[in-house]
Amino acid sequence: MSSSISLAGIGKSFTKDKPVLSGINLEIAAGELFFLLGPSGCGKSTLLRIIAGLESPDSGTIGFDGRDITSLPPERRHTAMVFQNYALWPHLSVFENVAFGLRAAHCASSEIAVKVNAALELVRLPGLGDRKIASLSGGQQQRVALARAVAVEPAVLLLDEPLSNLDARLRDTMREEIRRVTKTKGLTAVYVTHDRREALATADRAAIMHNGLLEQCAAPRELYRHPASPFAAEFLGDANFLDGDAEGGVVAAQLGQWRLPAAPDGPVRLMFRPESLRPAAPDAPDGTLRFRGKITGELYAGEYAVYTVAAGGTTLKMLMSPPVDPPPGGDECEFMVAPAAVRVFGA
Amino acid sequence: MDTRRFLCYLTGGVLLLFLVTFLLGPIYAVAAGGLNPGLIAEIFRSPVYVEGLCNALAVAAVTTVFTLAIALPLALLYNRYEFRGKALSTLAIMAPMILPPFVGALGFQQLLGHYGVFNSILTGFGAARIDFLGGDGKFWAVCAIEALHLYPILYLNLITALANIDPAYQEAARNLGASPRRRFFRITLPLVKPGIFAGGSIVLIWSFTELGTPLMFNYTRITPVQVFNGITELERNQLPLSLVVIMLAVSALLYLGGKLAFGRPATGGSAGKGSSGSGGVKLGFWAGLLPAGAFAAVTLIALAPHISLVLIAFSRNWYNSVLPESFTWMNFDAALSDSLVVPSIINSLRYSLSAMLIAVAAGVLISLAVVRWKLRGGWLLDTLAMLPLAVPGIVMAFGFLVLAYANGFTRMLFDVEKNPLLLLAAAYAVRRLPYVVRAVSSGLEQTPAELENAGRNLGAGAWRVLRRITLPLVAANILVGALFAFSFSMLEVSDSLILAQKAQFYPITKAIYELSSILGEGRYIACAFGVWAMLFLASTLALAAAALGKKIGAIFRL
Repeated sequence: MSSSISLAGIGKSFTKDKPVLSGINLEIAAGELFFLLGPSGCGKSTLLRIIAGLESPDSGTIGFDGRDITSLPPERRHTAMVFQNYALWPHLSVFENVAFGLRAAHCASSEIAVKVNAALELVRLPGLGDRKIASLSGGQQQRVALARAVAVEPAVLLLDEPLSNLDARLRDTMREEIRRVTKTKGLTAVYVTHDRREALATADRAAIMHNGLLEQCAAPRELYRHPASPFAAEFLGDANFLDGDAEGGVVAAQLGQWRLPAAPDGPVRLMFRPESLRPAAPDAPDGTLRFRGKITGELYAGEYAVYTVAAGGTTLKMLMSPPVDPPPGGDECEFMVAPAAVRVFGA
Repeated sequence: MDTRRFLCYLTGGVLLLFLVTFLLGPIYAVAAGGLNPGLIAEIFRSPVYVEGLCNALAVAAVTTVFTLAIALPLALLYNRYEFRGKALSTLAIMAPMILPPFVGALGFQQLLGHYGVFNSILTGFGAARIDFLGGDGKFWAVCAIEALHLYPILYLNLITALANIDPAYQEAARNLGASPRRRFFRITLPLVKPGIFAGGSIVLIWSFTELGTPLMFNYTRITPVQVFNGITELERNQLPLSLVVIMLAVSALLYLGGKLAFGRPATGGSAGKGSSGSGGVKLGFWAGLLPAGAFAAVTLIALAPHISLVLIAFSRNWYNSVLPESFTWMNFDAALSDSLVVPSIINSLRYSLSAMLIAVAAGVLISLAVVRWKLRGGWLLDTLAMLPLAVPGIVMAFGFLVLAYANGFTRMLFDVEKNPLLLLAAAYAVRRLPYVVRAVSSGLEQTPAELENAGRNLGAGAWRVLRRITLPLVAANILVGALFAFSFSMLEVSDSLILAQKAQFYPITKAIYELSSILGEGRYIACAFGVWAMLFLASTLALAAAALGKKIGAIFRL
C-alpha cells in the first residue's frame, strides 16, 4: 500500500558552516511520481537518504500517511531504494538479489518465488533469475535493481539518479519503463535526478532544489513555463535574460520599452525561452513585443536549430523547429516575443 | 543515542579494553620496569651494551639498504614490463617468506661455514679456506639473511605504490622530453616514497630487533641477543628491561625519522589512480628473458639457504663437501619421533588457531568500527591495531613476561609455568592483528556501503546485513587475514623463544631452536623439521596470494 509523504522543516548539516538542507517542507501524495531536481551538491540525494532513513535529519520530521517515522531505522520504514550504482550484491544471483527483501520479511518460499518472478516479469527480465549479476548488461542490472525494489511492494519507492550510468538511448527507454512500473503498481515514488529532461518527461510533479533549499515545486509544464526564480528558469532549460526597470507596467530594457502589466515597479529581470522568440510576423497580435536584431550564428541539431541573435548590445537565443533552410543571417530584421511568454522577476 | 549506535560504541569499548590489556599493557609493563634512569645510564656507560646497540642499528641500516637494492629494481621491472612468467614472479618472490630467517640461518651456515659448500669449492680449486662467518662475517651474514627474508615486504609495498601512479604522470614527463633517468628520480621515486616508507619502516624495525638470526649465528654482541641472555636473571636484574625500553625508543625514533623523510607524498596529495589499459611494455620472448631472469636469479639466491636446508634435511652426513655424501629419509622420521617435535606441532597448532580466532574476531570488529560504523575515536582503535608493526616483537614478548611474573591479576591470567596458552595466543594475536585489520579494512573500503544500505533499506536488520552481505563480500579478505595470522603465528620467534619456557609447552620455532643446538644429529633433525614448517607456510601463502592477487602488498603497510 503506497503512502503519502510529509516533510516538515527538514534540516541537515555535515559541517558546521554550511547546511546541506534548510527547512525543507514538502507534501507528496500517495501514488505520485515525484522528482527532486537540482544540480550536484544541492542536497537532493541527502533528502532522499533522509526519507530512506540512511541519514538522520538534524531538524524536522518525516511522516508517512501522517505517521511520524523520523526516528524509525531504515529497515522498518518499508521503503525501497534504487541506488545510483544499483548496489546489486555480486555474490548473489539475480533471483536472490530480488528475493532478499522478501526473505528479510520472512515470506514463505512459495510466495517468494511467485513475487520474484512477477517482479522480473514486470521489468521484462523473465527467466534470468539464475544469472550472476556480473553477467548482465548495464540496462539489465538497472532493471534488476528496480525489480528488487518493487518486489517488496514498498510504501515508498526511492530512486537515486537510477539512469545516470546508462547511455542516452537506454535512458530514454528506462525512464518510460520506470513510469510504467510505478504507475502499474500504484507506487509513491521519489526520484532524484539532475537531468531536467528526465524530470520533465517523467514526473507527475517535481521540486527544484538549490543550495539546500526548495526553489519551486510544481508539475513539469508549470515549472517550465512559470519558473519561480531565474535559477529555476535557467536550470530547466535555455533562457534569455534581460535586465530592466519597470514603472506602471512598462519595462525599459536593452531592447526598448515593453508593456508588461505584471511587472512590479523597480529593477526587474525578464526571461523568455528561445522557442518563444520568432522572426516578426506581419499578422502578430497587438501587444506583441518587438525589437530589431541580426542573426549571427547557428547551432544545427537536426530536428531543430538554435540561432544566436545580436540585438541591443546583448545576444539572445532563438530556437526554430524545424530549422530554417537556407540558414538566415546577414541583414538586420525584426523579432518578436509574446508578452505571455515573458516571465518577470523582481531583481 | 539509539540502541544500535550504543551497541557499536560498546563493542568499540570492549575492543579498546582488549588492546589496552594485550598491547599497551605489555608495553607499559616494560616501560614501568625499564624506565630507570640509573640503569639506562649504566647501559650507555657500558661499552658492551653500546656496541650491541650500534651493531643492532648497523644491522638494521644495512639490511634495509640491501632490501631496497633488491626490491626496487624488481618492482620497477614488474611495473614497467609485460613478460612471460610475470604472474609467477610475485609468487616466486614471496618464497623467502616461507621460513623464519633464523631457520634459514641453518642453511646459510652450511653454505658459508668453514667446512661448508663454498669453502669446499675453494679447496677443490686449491685455494685457501675463507672464514666467511668469522669476525665481521657474522654481521654481514645476519644482514644478508635478513635482507633475503624481508625484501618481499618492501617489494610488495613498492608494486602497490607503483600501480597507484597514474601512467599519465610518466607520459607527461616523457612528452616534455625527460630522460628515463630524470623520470625515475623526479617522478617515480618521489611518488613511491610513501611505499618505500611503508615497507622500509617494517624492515628497519624488524631487523633492528630480530632475535632469532643473530642467535643462530652466535652473534652475541647485538642488543636483542643481550636482552634474551638476560632473561634468566630478570627477577634479580632489571637491566634487560631498560635495554628493551631503549630499543622501543630507538624503534619509535626510526619510525618517526622514516615518516619525516619518506612518509609524505611528494605532491602533497596521493597519486592518482592508474587508468585502465595502462599495462607495461610488452616484451618479446628473448627480451622478456631479462626481467624473468632477474626475478629467477634473486629468487634463487634468496632460496639458497632454504635449498641448503632441504639438502641438510635429506642428508646423512654433509661436511666439507659441495653436496651431501648420501641421502636419507631418516631425519624426517627422527624429526617426527623426537619427544620435542610432535608436542611442539600440537602446541603451535593450539596457540596459532587460538591466535587466529582472536585476531580475526578483533580485526573484523575493529575494521567495522573504523570503516563502517565510523565511531568517534575510531582512529585510536586503528592506530593501536597497527602499533604492533612498529613495536618490536621482543618488546611485546618481554612485556608479557613481566606481566606473567608480576604479582596479582596478570600473573593469574598469564601463568607461563602452568599453561602459556592464553599468553602465547594473545601475544601472537596482537602481533598479527595489523595483517587482519589491513586485509579486512581494505575489503570494506573497496565494498561500497550502498550494498549494505540496500539491504537495510529492504528491511534486513543489522545482523542479517552483516551475515548475508558484509561478511560474504569481504570473505576473501578475512580469509587472507586469517591465513597470515595463522601461518605467521605458527613460525613466530620472539614470543616463542621468550615466553615458552617449559619443554612441554614449546611451539615449533622453539623446538627447532633447541634441536639445532643439540650436537650430532640435532642440526639434521632441526632442518627436517624446518622443511615441514616451510611446506606448511608455503601452502598458506600461496592460498593467500591466490585469494588477494596484486592487492597482497596492502597487507604489509603501516
